[in-house]
Amino acid sequence: MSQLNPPVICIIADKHDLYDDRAYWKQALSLLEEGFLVHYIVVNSDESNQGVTKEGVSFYLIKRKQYIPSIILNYLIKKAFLFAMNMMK
Amino acid sequence: MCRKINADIFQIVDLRINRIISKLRNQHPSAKFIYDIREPRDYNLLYITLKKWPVPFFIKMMYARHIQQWEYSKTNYYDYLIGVDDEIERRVKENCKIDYTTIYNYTNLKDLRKNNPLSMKVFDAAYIGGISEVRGALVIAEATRILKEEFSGIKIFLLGNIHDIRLRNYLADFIAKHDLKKIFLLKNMYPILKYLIIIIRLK
Repeated sequence: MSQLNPPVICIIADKHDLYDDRAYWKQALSLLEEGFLVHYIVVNSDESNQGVTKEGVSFYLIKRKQYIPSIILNYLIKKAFLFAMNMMK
Repeated sequence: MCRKINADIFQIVDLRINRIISKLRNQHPSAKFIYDIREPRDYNLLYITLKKWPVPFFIKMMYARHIQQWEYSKTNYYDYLIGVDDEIERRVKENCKIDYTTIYNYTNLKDLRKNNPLSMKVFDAAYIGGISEVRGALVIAEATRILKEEFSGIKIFLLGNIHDIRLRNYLADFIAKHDLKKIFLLKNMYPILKYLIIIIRLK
């Protein structure tokens, strides 16, 4: 596979962390070995951060917006917030 | 973020990302989308996630079914589906129209066991991953009890977290009751290096 313009793959996870056994160690690293440029986005992380892992995977950790501890109420608040934003546009 | 990366292929690993899949598709019309479809969603919701919810069972069942159908409907946004076992394959073929391949999630032993003599054997069988009733923890425990009668030297190892306290207590009682302490071993997740050492000791 040509290294000049390698195909780019973006793995997006929500419940799996960056160093997940399957998504990272098996899938992402296998793709890297095959010449892909691998990006790994973790949407529901404990912290916001980005960089490149030792193995060469570009990662983006995105902290989930949490207004209150209850998942359901949090979801509803976010929906209401988005709805209000759309109404204001 | 995804716009910036502008990938040729997107691989979605978790269910909740499906909330934005149509938007992602519209943003990246030339990209290919792969969905890594996971274990039976409805069973997981019903017997793990929602198990302790103080809601009548039939409501939980309806919700679990709804989420499962929602997941199946979202697969239409993908170009390809991948999964890890034959049961997922069966369910996908029954409910989805998208091409699917099973990539078994076996432990990749590579060269670790090339020269691994039988004398090095410590465990006869091991399971690695979350330990739950749905994933067969009780069946493995019962199988160990039966196998103990036939093969006195057998050793079974379960490596993973038990989130269900009732299951943890049940297994502890089961091990004590049937004197399985030395042959049925339960451990929480280890760092990856220690886990590789266990794999090398398998035969």
